[in-house]
Amino acid sequence: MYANRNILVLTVPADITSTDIAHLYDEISSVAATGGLQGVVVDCSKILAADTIQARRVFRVAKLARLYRLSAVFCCIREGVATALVELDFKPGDVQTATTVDQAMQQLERPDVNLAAS
Amino acid sequence: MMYVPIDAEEDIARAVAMTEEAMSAEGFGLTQRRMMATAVSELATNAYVHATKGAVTIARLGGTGGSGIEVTVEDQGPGIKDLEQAMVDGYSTAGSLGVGLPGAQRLADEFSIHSTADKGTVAVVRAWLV
Amino acid sequence: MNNITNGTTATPVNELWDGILLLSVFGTIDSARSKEMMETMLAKVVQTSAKVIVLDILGVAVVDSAVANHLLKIGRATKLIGADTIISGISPEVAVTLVELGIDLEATITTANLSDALQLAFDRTGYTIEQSK
Ligand SMILES: Nc1ncnc2c1ncn2[C@@H]1O[C@H](COP(=O)(O)OP(=O)(O)OP(=O)(O)O)[C@@H](O)[C@H]1O
Ligand SMILES: [Mg+2]
Repeated sequence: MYANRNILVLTVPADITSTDIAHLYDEISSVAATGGLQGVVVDCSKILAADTIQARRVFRVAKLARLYRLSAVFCCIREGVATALVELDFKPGDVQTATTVDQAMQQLERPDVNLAAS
Repeated sequence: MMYVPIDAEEDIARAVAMTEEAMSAEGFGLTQRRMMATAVSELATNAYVHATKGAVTIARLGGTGGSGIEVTVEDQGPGIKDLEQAMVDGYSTAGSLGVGLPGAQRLADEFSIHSTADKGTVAVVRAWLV
Repeated sequence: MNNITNGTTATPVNELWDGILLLSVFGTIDSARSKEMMETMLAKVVQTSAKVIVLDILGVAVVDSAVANHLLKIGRATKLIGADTIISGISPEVAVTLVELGIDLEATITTANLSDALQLAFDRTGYTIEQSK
């Protein structure tokens, strides 16, 4: 976990327990408290399987980030995880996503090009 | 009169294409054709998905009221347990969108459905050229 | 992967521009076809780090609830891995049919034609098209 260009990059552990997510929350809250943060990137590459409960748990991070007026971009979700979630009828809604960490960072730096918001 | 058995998924597309063709021959416009074809697609898909197989019959309607097309979709499946509920938007026992039946009703000029437990379901849709 | 089923041709996914993929669909979309489309699409998004996918359905005759459900699923899966889907080629007949059917396309962005979709895709990827004087 590191902060770069005022962007906090967090990695979701493979198990996605509620404790794991609580750690992510703590991380965001403590970094946000110091100020100057532009956004949060949530790297999901470690996740090899997820059910809809776990997926919702991960995406709730965006809600917390919003409380600090920060955008969150979820990235590196694996193809297999995505297809399985869709088969379980999971609806991602209007979350921001990116294929790579770099792309997620770029997206946070150029918030004007968010298609969903247009 | 045309008859299309629905035994496989691709038979649905065949029934839909034949409905469009028959309507084209009657002089129906594109929008009406598409709406009716989509209604038939919904009903034939229901027969295939919920009753494993069924049959589609396409017939011309003549007479004093003008000309029209009637499509009957029937199956010998389990029947619809609660028809009233099945006609509600968003109701599905298959985790699907649940718009097929109420949608077919809105897409056709006339719609009727009869279902008997363990005997099967018969749905009829009509489009009129006015 | 080129696969011909029942008069239906699976068009390959084209990288139209840096970050933009195009898939033009013709014929019918059944469950097997939609599964194949989703897999091909996801693989290509990962391979090219695409940000926007344009799914042109002008050549799809009937967009019923099953087809709409397939399209929604493809949109959701690609959204999850990091790309937005624009569905283009919504003909007037299909538009009317979708409304009458009562289908909610959720967050899916739809356009009547390919050029509107491209304009949006360029906006999204940060490109501007200019005519040289
Ligand atoms: N031919 C049939 N035989 C048995 N049950 C049926 C039949 N047609 C519909 N049903 C029942 O009625 C419900 C509603 O049908 P409807 O077509 O509206 O939705 P769906 O088929 O579940 O989803 P969608 O059509 O939106 O993909 C179905 O879920 C099923 O339980
Ligand atoms: Mg149905």
